[in-house]
This record gives sequence, C-alpha cells and structure tokens, in this order.
Amino acid sequence: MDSGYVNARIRGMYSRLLDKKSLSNLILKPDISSLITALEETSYHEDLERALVGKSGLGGIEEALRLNLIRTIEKISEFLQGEKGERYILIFSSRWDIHNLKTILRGKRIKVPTMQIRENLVPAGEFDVSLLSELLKQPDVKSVIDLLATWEVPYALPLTQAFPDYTAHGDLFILENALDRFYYERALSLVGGKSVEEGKIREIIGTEIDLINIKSLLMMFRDHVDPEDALPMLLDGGKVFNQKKLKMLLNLGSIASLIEYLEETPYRFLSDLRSSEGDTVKISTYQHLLDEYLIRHAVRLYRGDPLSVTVVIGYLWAKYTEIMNLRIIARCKNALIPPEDMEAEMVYV
Amino acid sequence: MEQVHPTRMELIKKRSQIVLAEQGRDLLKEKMEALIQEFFKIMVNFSESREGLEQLAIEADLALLVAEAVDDPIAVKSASYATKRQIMVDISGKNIMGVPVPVIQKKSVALNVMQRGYGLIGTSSRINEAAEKFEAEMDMIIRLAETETTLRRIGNEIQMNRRRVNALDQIIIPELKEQAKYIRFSIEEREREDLFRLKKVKKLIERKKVKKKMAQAGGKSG
Amino acid sequence: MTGWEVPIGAAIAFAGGAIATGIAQSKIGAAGAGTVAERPESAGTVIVLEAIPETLVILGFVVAAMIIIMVE
Repeated sequence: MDSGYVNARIRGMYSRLLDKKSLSNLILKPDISSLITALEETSYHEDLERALVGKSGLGGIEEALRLNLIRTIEKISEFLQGEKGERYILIFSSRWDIHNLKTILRGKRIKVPTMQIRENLVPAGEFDVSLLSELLKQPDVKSVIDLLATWEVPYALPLTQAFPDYTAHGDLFILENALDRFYYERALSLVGGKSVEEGKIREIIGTEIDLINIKSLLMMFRDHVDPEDALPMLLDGGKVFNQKKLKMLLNLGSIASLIEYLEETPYRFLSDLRSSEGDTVKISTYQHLLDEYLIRHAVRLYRGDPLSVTVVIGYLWAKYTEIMNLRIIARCKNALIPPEDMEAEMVYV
Repeated sequence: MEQVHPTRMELIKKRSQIVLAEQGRDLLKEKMEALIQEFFKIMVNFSESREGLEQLAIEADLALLVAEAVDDPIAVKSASYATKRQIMVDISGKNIMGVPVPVIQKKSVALNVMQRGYGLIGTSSRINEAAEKFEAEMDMIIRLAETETTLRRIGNEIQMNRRRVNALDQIIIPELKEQAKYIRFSIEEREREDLFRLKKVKKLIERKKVKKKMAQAGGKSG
Repeated sequence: MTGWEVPIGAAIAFAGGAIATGIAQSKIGAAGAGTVAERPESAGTVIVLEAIPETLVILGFVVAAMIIIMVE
C-alpha cells in the first residue's frame, strides 16, 4: 500500500481533531454533564457510550479518552500493517507497554491486588490482553521477568540484566531506569537508517531525550543529588547533549547555572521563564514548557513532507495532546478550577 | 448524716477533715491554673500549625489535581505503587504536671527524588511535586498528632480537676461542715438536757429536803 | 502510402496517455480510498477527482485517431 492512502486517512483524521475554538467552547461548559453532552457530538461519542456504561462523570470521560487513544493507535497500526511505518507507530505506542510493565512490577512488589493493577493498565501497545493477564497472574517481580523472558518479549533483556542489582539494593528505580533506557535505545535503533523520514523521527526522539535529561537535571539539582548518583539517571543519545556534555551539565550543580547554560542551546525558552518569574519557579512549570516544546516539534512532523509516514507520528502526537487537553478540562471542571488556570496547563498545537 | 456519732471525738475528727479538704481544694485550684496556662501556651502553637496544615493540604490537593489532569490519573496511581516504605514512628512519653503526654520521634517523611522508588526518567515532575507536597503534609500531621494528643490530655486533666474542686467545694466540704454543726448541736443539746436533768434532780432533792423538814417541824409542834 | 510507422505512432500516443492515467488514478484512488474511509461524506468529490485523469487517456485516443486520419 502506498503512502497516499495512509496520508489521506491521517489527514481525514487530523481534520476531525478539535481546534482551539472548540476547546475553548468546552472550557466554558458549566459542569461535567454538559461537557459530556458536548463531547458526544465529537469523534469521542462512541468511546463515551462504551465508557459511561461502567463509570459515570469524570471517571467515564477519562475512561473514554483512554479507549479513544487505544482505538486510534489500533486503527493506525491496522492500516500500516506490514509496512515500515508500523515501526514508527511502535515507537509511540510502546510507551504504554513501558507504563504497563512498570505498573505491574510496582504493583507486584508491594502485593497490590491483581484487580487494582489491572485497572491501571492501558493496553495500547504491543502487549496484548493475554500477555498482560498472564503477567498479572505472576506472584512477584522475579516471575514477571521470567515470564517476559519465556515469551521472548524484548523488555526481558534489560530487566534480567538489571535484576541482580535490584536484588542487591532493593530499589525499584533500578529496574525502571533500565526499562526507560532500553525504550529510548530501542526507539533510536528502530530509526537507525539513512532515509529522510527516519532522520526526522530520530531528531524528535533525540529532542525528547534532551528534554527528559533537562527535567531530570532540574529535579536532581533542586534536591541536591550527588553527581555520582545522578549520572546513571541521564539518557544517552540526545540531539544536543551527548554523554560528555551531560557530565559537564552535571557539574554545573545548580538550576540557575543550568538554565544559563541552556541559553546557547535550542532550549533557551527556559531562561525567559526564569528571568520573568525569578528563582521560585516550580519544576513542573519548567516541565510544562519542555512538554510544549516537544509536542510542538513532534506535531510539526505532520506539516512536513506530505508523502512520508512521519505524518502519522505528527498526527499521533496531536491526538495525544488533544486527549491530554480534554483530560485537563474534565479534571478542572470537576474541581471547579477557573478557566484561566486551566489554560495554563494546556498545550495548543 | 445519721451515721455520725455525735461525740466530741467525732467532732474533732470532722474539724480536721474540713481543714484537710480545704487545703486539698486550694492545691487543686493551683494545679488547674498551672495546667490552663500550659494549655494555652500549646494552644497558640497548635492553631498556627493547624492553619499551616490546611494551607499545605490545599497545595497538595492542587498539585495532585494538576498531576492527574496532565499525566493520566493512571500514571499517578501507578507511581504510587512504587512506594517502598512505611513510616517509622517512635513514641515515648513525658510528664506535664502529672499528665502523661506522648513525644513522637520520627525521621522526616520528606525524601529527595532518588528515594521515592519510581524511576526518574519516566516520571513527570508534576507527579513528583504532588508526592513532595503530600510528604510535607504527612510530616505536619504527625507533628500535630503529638500536640493534639497533649492538648487533649491536658484538657481532660483540667476538666477532671475542675470536677474534683467542685466536688470538694460544693459537696464534701459543706457536708463535713454540716456534720460538724450537727455534732456540735447534738452535744450542746445533750449538755442542756443534762443540765436540765441535774436541775430537776436538784429540785426533787430540795423538795424532799423541805418535806422532811416540815415533817420534823410538824412532829415537834404536834 | 502509409507505412508501418503510422499505427505505431498512434499506439504510442494512446499508450502514453493510458499509462499516465493509470499512474495518476492509482495514486488518486489510494488517497481517495483513504479519504472515503475517514470521511464518507466526501465520496462525491473523490469520484470527481478520480475521473479527472481520464481526460489524459481521451486526449491520447484523440491524438492517435488524428495521426491515423491525417496521415491517410
């Protein structure tokens, strides 16, 4: 199948995303039930109908948003099946595999009841329902990893490697970091080729890695983490920061000097915030800017070459952002937060 | 009041009891005043921290709301499973004016990013901030638990003291006084009776003497 | 007297148009299928777009016919 078909479908789907005006209309709805009524007139009505059977109000909306995301990813990977574009979807969708796997590991470690863990899984990635329920049946962390190895799931590799370290220290973040690291390494290796579209996707992943490193650095600087402990928390393969530069960044030691340094990189937007708000800025405010930057860049892929598959990645990011925005609206409506505060958390693409 | 024996011995006993009861009452009153002072001293502190706690709770809820709104509530729930610790609290006691109050010793609940159990790479700073705010709230709650228990214990003690003072003041001391009065009256009454009886006997004897004399005189003349 | 070149020329003219139409329609068809799958309401427009390259094959036919007729 050629890209014309995919491109046309994605564009059809993109045109159905909510624009800024309809989002503002949703913000102005007085309460949750009128928000639901308004959403029923959008592409979410099918998911809302399904979700509102089991849950009502806010829970129903959130469930519907998740269902919609899962459905969208399924739909796109269906018509990309057997093409190289499928790999790019995989990069996006395996985020939820990582989420699911982490949730299961965390839950199994403190013996959370299986039903509760299941409620927190999002089967949007590669893991199908049967693998997830097999994993849920395992009694502890060790057997979860063993099962992954038996099923030849790629994530078994980093987990098995990190497991001895985990048993020695008992810190779960050792396993989690191994997983996250593996995710980005795998993502980069999936787009290791020389073609233009692979280059573009590689650039987005590199940007994401940079932004994650900046976030981690900000958090660690604020809590005065020892640079030696901090280095393993940083990811290699960033677009701007390589291993050597990261070490240099670590030695800066404070949020102020980090942000000052960033002025010479593409991430100088952080210093604007700092100069207007001062030193009291919360890390989450910085992260909002970082997220916004990443989303803007990823969605830009959609507007790029119309005949390449990068359009799909751009669309998925746009969709993800829309779902995030809707969730913010629903949550804030529920808690009676005024619209202005709501918009501060939202990202418009 | 009926069971008291109206004897002089008893009266002396009652009088000393009254003195003792009055002394006890004065002592208790002093203790109560001291306790009330202590109570208000802690109270000022407590209401300030109480306001602080409310402020913290609002901030924590807001941070959680933002985390749940921007990242999925599912991600927040999942991160919460990564918790690895229970809070160790060591409770010993101390004495304020005879009132045992708890002293809570604990390490601060607040942690840095590396100690929260979840991996740093995949967790957003919003979730981290929510965790941080709730840890601060937890710290405050444990500290407040100590002062609140102290306050409650002292309050109870004050109330009990007041009841004791009242009992002494309004029941026991008046009752003792009543009894003493009764004994005194009975004794006086008995004394009067005795006097009267003596007088009567004296009269009888005198009358007898007169009769005898008259008989003697009549015998002489007749 | 016409030789064998004339029908060959006409054939080339017609074939060129037909092949070009095929290529164009295959692309438009794929994209059109995608569009109709997402937005069924635009089916009318898609059919019109699909038909436009048809003009190429007609043009090829006309040119072929002209070659044969005019050379005779």
